[in-house]
Amino acid sequence: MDGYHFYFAPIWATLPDIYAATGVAALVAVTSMALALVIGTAAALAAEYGGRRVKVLVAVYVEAMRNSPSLVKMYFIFLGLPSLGLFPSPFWSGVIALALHNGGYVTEIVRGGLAAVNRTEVQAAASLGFGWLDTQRSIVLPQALRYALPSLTNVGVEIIKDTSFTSALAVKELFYLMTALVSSTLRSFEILIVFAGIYFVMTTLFAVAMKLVELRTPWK
Amino acid sequence: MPSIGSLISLLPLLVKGFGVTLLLAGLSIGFGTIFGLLLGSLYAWGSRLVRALLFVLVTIVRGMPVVVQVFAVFFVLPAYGIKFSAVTSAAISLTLFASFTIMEIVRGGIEAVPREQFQAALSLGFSNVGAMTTVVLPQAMRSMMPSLVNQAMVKATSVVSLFGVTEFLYVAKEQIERTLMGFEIMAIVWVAYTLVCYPLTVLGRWFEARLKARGQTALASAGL
Repeated sequence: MDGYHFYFAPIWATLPDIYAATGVAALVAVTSMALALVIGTAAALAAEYGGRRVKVLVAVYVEAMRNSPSLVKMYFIFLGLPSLGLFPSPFWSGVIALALHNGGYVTEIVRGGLAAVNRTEVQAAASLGFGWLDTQRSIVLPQALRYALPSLTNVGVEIIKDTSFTSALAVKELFYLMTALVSSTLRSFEILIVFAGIYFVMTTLFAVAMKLVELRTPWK
Repeated sequence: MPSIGSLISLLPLLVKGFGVTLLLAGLSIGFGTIFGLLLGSLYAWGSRLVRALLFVLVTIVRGMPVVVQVFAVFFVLPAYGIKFSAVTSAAISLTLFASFTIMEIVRGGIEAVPREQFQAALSLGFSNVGAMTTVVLPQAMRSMMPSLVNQAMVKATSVVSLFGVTEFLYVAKEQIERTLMGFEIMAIVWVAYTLVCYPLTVLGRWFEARLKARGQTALASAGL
């Protein structure tokens, strides 16, 4: 037997599809990350400053997200909500499920960041006449998010990888294209190399970019 | 609203699917722990070449989404004549995923034990293996526990539903397509996963609190 002959030609022939799928995956990732950050930060602030009932509510949300796969939330939104007369598109079902699921992790991480900010800074801000919103926006959150940045980067990397789950809802992203190409080209090993490479480049670029932000942010 | 009766009639199917999910989780956690301990020890104690090799391997594997790892077992191996049943393929791919996740946790745990402990054990007459198994590993284990009792593996099993393995989520989706009771069935699925995973989360937190009481901090969780 002679060695395996790599044959990438049928995959390169679909290059426009690969570009499009990469774009969709990136769009799903970026939208989910932004929403997860907003949800997580809001929930963390609510737990920090809210009353007892709000704290319990946030805790229930976090546990409901952490203790089941994100695919379950995806199907719940895509297949479950139509029973209530709501018909979200595959793209938004996937994005909202990823945002809610990872928002649970972001909540915990941002809470850790908030706890690391010195209370005296809040008191100093109050004595300078800062309102609550201004204190949060210009004093507490920048520091809290900076503390949380390395962990937030990890969540971001997970979100990029988890965009592959949206193929379950027939969102035409990278993994969806992978399975489609297997049946049309039968070059599964080459497909694995190319697409694993794309995911690797995306997660690495993101992680490096966040590392640069980390190194360049002046406060510590 | 569909009747409660038709929902109850679906329960045996769902329970069977949930059984497959628990079986896959058990197999991948069991074998993953064995391989993870072996690989993690190699990663921490091996020669420079072994460490470099494992670093490259873990970087590649953990840079891929889980579905792509499963894809490799389901689609790439059969192209070379290595064929397994769907459930076996699922178990193999999830074990691979678990092994690499646990390997990182084990390596972190071992490296958290000061090297002097190992050297002190050697100077007291312990053999290499003896020093590792009776001095270093028990201490490493303690800092590994919060990350080891992780619900991540139970949740990860759900990805094999994309490959037609008849586990919980696949069965649920099938029944939704048949009965259109999406809301009710997915609510059941959500609650069932939570019932299994939440106790594990609580246990992990207990280990973490115990560690903190000793003045140590837990390792950063390797897999979310």
